[in-house]
Amino acid sequence: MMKTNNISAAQVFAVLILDILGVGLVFMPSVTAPLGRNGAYAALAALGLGLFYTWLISKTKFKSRVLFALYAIKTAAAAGLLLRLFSELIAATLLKNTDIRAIAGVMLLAALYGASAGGRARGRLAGTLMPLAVTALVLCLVLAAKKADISRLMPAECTPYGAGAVFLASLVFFPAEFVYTLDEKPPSRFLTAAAALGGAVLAAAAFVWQLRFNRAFAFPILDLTYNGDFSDVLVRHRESLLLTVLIAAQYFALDSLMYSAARAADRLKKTKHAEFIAAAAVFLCCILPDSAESARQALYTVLAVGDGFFLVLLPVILNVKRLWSEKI
Amino acid sequence: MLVNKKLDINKAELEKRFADCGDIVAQSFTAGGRRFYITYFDDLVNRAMLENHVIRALTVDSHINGADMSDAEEFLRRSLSTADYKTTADLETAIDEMLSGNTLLLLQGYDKAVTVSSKNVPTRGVNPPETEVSVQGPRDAFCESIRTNTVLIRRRIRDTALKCRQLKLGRRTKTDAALMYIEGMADEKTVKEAERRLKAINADAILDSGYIEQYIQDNKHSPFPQVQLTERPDKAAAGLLEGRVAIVADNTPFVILIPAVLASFYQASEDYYQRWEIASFVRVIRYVSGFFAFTLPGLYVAVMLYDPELLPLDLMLHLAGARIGVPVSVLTEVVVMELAFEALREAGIRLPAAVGGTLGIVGGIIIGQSAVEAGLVSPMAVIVVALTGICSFTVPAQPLVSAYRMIKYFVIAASAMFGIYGFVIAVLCVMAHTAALESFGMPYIYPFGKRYPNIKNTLKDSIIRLPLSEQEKNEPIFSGDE
Repeated sequence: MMKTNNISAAQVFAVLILDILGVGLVFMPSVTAPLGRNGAYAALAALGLGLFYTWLISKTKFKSRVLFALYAIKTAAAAGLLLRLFSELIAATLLKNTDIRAIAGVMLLAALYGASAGGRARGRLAGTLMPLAVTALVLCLVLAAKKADISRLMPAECTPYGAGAVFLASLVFFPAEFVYTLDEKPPSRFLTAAAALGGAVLAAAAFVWQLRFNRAFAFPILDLTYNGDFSDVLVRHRESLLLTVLIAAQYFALDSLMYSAARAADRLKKTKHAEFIAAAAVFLCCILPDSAESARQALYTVLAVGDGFFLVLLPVILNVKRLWSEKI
Repeated sequence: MLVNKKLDINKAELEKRFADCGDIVAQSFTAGGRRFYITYFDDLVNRAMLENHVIRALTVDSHINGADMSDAEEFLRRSLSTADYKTTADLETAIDEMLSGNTLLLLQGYDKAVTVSSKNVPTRGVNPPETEVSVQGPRDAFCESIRTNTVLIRRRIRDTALKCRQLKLGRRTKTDAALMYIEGMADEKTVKEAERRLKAINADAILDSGYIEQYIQDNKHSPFPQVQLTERPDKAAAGLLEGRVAIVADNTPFVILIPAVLASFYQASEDYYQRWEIASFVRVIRYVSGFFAFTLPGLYVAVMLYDPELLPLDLMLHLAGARIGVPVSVLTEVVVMELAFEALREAGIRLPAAVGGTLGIVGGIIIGQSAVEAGLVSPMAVIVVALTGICSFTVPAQPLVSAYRMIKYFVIAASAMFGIYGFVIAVLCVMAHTAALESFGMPYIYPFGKRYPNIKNTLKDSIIRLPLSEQEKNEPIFSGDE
């Protein structure tokens, strides 16, 4: 297997879409659902912010070993907590009464195998999987939107909690940070296009969910899986179908986050086992929280602090600094 | 060791080397006052040719031609009535030539050995292909003679750009091999890499192209074939015209094509001889069948063990009813049936064709039917295993089918442990594995997964095949990597 970090801009585009979907499908509806009818608008606003972040990231570069160390730790923690939430979701649907550690362990091993194959292999796999995943998701959303009630979206309100939720939801674009670890940055249009497409699918999911259900639920995305209208077809229950897309996207997001953490760790000290170390850290972060709720709260904290810094604050500071020095 | 001017020294050395080789013929004779020594392997040479164009030419015709006996080279040029002879000062090279079926001629007072091309290797001739049968298209197949095989290719590509580099593989077998490619179409890097890997083979014996495959493939631990073997000259010629490189070896009817990507294993020669609509339809069937060839049993296990509610209620109840009284679990019945099917397939291959057919009927129908009637397995398990087998038969390349046969058990195991979740993860792992594979620098899942420079033309001949007139001419499909 050839290990290399270089992938084409089109492959970066595919990788980022799958990453955003993998993170967003588990995370975003949970953030926007408590907002009631404003949740869909929050998802739309988050998309706007996400586009801005990815554009900013494409202009940002840093070489500080301290920053790479922090980035590796933050990414491994986010990946672990995300894996925990995903495992809880699988345990609630497909594998009832199965140990969370077993569910997470299997996914982690598979993602570790993918991450160990190198950047090129990941790029090729993303290029192949992305069109299939996006098509399947859009199809599920279209079918789920058949009984939509537009009145559930009116009227929109602006609340302090809503603003916080918009910020939190916009952090689903944090996988875009992986370009920090690339030797060569792809053109910004590929990054923003990927964020636009991935974010649009997520916003559409938030809208469809709002139009159909508008209720509190642990994993709102499951509402869509249970209620897609596939009557009179061979497959009676749909949760496995949509969950298949979700599993694939989650696999990819986890694989990507682990790979990014490993590459960031490489900047500190080159080692052959960076992916294994990252996987161990991810697993530890996954099993540490005592419940799904505490994992969710921990993830919110990691994202708000960690990605608030790496996705928003750091790019703003570095770009302002760059512009200032250019002006001088 | 160099050839000595004294014939007796050379003769003694040869007799020492070929001691106890009862199949050797060696004879000394004198012509025009000069001593000669001729040696060859019995029946490995064309005797008539040897008698008429070498021995007779030296002993009789040279006098008629008035050849000058004092100048050995002039004498040979004027007396031998064949153009296909070589001289060498190295005795080892001369011995190698002799072992290949050529005749070795030594002259007194001449410090070079003469090797006359007189091969007469027994071969079975050109027969129809046995493993790549087609309804439409040519019926000739490669045989065990390297020269016949290169001729079959050159007959199809009458272009001076078709190059053929000769090599010898195996320390003891010294198997002849030829590296064929079309200059200007094949990627120079691939040609050089192929030659490097062939020269790097460190083995005593190369008895078949399967040996070469195992020495030159990129990933030795992958079940997926990374070079393509074909016994069809039309397929080899088509591969060369796509910019690929062919390795033709002696003693094997299978020619190696490199690089080999997953899509190339789904292509059959016949695809290009039929109308494009039919060819495209058949290809889609092959891809879908290929997927089910390694996933169907796993999917059945996952659904029956974990998620039966996926199925419509009537079907689910029907399947559950059919399993009543079956004493083993779904996993056990599927694994046992699959293994029985593998045993049946293996037994069928080793038996004569007529008996093999009977075995198929006995195994497939009678034993399957009996097992269901005895309540040992459910009818659905038999259907799933049979469908999996049929799906695997639609893939034109047996090495890929063999890979799928192995991977199938991995998917079954993952599905048995984690249901649909395990099934999806297993399939993702297989996809990740194929995405990581490369064949001589070419991504294995080419042309998918990336926008390659010639992607538009390549996609016209991938899962579907567009009309030949719409495919760009002179643009090789295989040309370089990312």
